[in-house]
Amino acid sequence: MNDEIMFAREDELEALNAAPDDGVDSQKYLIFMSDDLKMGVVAENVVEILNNQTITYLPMVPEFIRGIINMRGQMVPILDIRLRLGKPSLESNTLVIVLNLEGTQLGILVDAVDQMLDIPKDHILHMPAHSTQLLVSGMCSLPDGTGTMMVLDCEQLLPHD
Amino acid sequence: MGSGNEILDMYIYETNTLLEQLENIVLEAEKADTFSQDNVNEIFRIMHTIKGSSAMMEFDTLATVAHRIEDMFFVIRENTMSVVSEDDRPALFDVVFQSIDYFRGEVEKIEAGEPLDKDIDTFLSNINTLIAKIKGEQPPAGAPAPAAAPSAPAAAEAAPPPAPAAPEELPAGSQDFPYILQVRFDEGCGMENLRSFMLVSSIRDVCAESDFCFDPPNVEQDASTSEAVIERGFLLMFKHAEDREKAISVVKGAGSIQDYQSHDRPAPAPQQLAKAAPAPAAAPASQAPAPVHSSAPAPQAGAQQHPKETLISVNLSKLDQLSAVVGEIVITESMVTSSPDLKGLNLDAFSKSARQLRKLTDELQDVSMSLRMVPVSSVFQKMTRIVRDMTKKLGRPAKLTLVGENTEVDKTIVDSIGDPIMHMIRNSMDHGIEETQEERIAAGKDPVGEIILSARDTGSEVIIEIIDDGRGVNDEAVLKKAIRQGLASPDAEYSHKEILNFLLAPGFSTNAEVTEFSGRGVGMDVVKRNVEELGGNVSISSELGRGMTTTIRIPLTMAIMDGMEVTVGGSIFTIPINNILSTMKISSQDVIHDSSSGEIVKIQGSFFPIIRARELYQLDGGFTDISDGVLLWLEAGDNSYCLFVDELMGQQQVVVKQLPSYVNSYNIKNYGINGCTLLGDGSISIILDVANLYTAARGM
Repeated sequence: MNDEIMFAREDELEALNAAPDDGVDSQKYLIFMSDDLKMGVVAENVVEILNNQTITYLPMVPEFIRGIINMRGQMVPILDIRLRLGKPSLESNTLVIVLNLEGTQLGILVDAVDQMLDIPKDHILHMPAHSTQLLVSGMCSLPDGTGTMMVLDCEQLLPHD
Repeated sequence: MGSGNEILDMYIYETNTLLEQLENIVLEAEKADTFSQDNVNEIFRIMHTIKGSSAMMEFDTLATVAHRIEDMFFVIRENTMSVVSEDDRPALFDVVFQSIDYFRGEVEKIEAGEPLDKDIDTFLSNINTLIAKIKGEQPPAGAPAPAAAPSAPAAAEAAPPPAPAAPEELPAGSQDFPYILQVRFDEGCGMENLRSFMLVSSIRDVCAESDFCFDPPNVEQDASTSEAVIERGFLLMFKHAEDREKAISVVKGAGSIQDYQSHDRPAPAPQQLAKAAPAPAAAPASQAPAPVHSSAPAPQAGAQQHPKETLISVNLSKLDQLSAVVGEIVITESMVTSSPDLKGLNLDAFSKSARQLRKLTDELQDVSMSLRMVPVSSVFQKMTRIVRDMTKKLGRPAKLTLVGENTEVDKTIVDSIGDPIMHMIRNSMDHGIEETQEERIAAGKDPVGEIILSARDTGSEVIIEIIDDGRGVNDEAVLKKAIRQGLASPDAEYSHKEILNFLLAPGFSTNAEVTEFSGRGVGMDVVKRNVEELGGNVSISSELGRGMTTTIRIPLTMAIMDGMEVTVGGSIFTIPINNILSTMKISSQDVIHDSSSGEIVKIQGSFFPIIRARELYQLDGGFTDISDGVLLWLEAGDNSYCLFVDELMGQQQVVVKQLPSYVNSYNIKNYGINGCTLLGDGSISIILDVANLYTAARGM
């Protein structure tokens, strides 16, 4: 799983580099599933995808922080997207996407990784003003008609003091 | 620096080191209100070197100033400190401090590639006035002719025997200096006179000044001597052959030397032997045994030379890399030796080698750790100067007491704590210590204020305290100010502690006036930010009228420590060994319940509270019956208590890793969760801070 996606990403990155002048300003998204929601995160922020990690529980932090993992000697905190969105967490859940957000490494716990997609920027629409959806900064219909992708708002993942 | 100019880099490094030395000497001397003869000699030597090297680098203004200071100390050296009247001494110290600052400033400019300050006249005239004053006190019969004052030292150095002028086949010289060394510089290298002078000053390091002389004598000032040096080489004449041997090694090390030759002058009476050997070229070793002058060849010279050669400077990033690799090696070592694959096998030879490996990795770890450790004294010493300057400027007598300045901490910490400490010291001087001595006397205190700067290492963190015995913090004034600044709400009630915390808030300054030293309202929050960047914290405590204490606690980064691994439910925690007094198993009858449902246990005649890790951290698993688990009797600072855990896994050396800043932002440090470490099997153990854990548990 891990390898597939990493390779896929590299291939696609190459493709992107090969044809930068097609006139459309687009961005790559890694699409993952959390509960029944399809969410996308900007691929540039993705460091790697890890499976079967042992998460060490860390006391005295909000419940949605499941703990920390040891990624080659580096401590990475793990945030459960389901718990963050106020949904029950999956007990057997161990798929982690490690993100790099402004220098902060952060893993998010998701149900499954779906695909990597190139999405033109102007296809992404703002959330309706009255929406109370957490962690989402925009949405877009997927070109293959499989549904709607919510754009993960990485800003909201970082702690605010 | 990046100038790519090694000589310049060396000059800057050397000058800075000398200035630091000089400052320490002067600070010490000022306390004693006199310069000892050793001090004077040392200052003389420092100024001399600065003068020489500055002239060599063609920083003429620096050389001139150094020259003047040297002049001044020459007078003092010749006549001892008694020549400076009591009244002039403060001025003398001030001038020396000013010159240190001047040199520092100029060296910084050189480093930054900026043009030097050309206007040194006022400064020079200050020094000259002082010299005149000192001389004025001198008995008229005093040694160096008053008229020739400014050029006195150089002339006097060369003075002892009237230097020979007439060149012969074998260079002439006084009969007292029979061992001659003739040095020739590379053709066309330029500045021969200054090069000669540099040579002389380095030889002074290895040979007592009265034991040699040189020709031409006035190379330092007279550029025309270059001609003579080119023509017949630069002549150095020594009393003893040993000194010449030492000088030869100095000459070998100097630059632009074409060659050198040793000659021996026929000695007057007893040394017939030497006459037979006018040995033109090398082979000076054969002459060594001839004169049996065992008159101690400048023992201090050797001592000064050695440390230079045994020290090298290493880029800090390389050390970082080293400690990281060593940390990983330690973990890998335990992963290998406790590998599950080895279970049930009886491997004698392997265990033996494994033990050996363990011993070596331990050693490696100790060494690599010690490489990065430097004493805090360099930072602390600087504060002495700040207190001294402020005492003068503000007219509030105060002394700084340093405690534990030999405490060794990581280099990065030493580099970053300077500014925070300086801010706090200035703050104590400016706001803490009472404005007048009368005020202090009225309060029943020593008229001289005291600031104590202390450092100590608890094994897991460094604690730096800045304690003053001044006025302390006036809660009301602080609160009023905080309200005015919009930091506090006028309606709310604030505790003493909360009010003190306003002092650390950005944009807060209690002093009505902005002073030169503090009061810009940026000090304290900068302190807080700097310390937090190091992963530490700042706290203030104060009692009105008694003074204020600022405590800076900084964890030892990349520390390797001995920890006890314990389990609670599914979690593993590491507790620093030096916090553990003992471990014990108790039964539920031993537990005493207090009125607020707390648990207490009696150990060795005293009572201690029990904290259950499972309850404190709201863990899912873990024992609830006190007789199933283990009690750890812990102590940190003034706090002593028992922690109830499930099981002890054993003692282990662990590499302390900081928790990701993401989780630290939830203030888990306040709950005693201090860091984490990787165990042999790659799993993570959480390192507990015994002191904070107790505070957290009490607050619940």
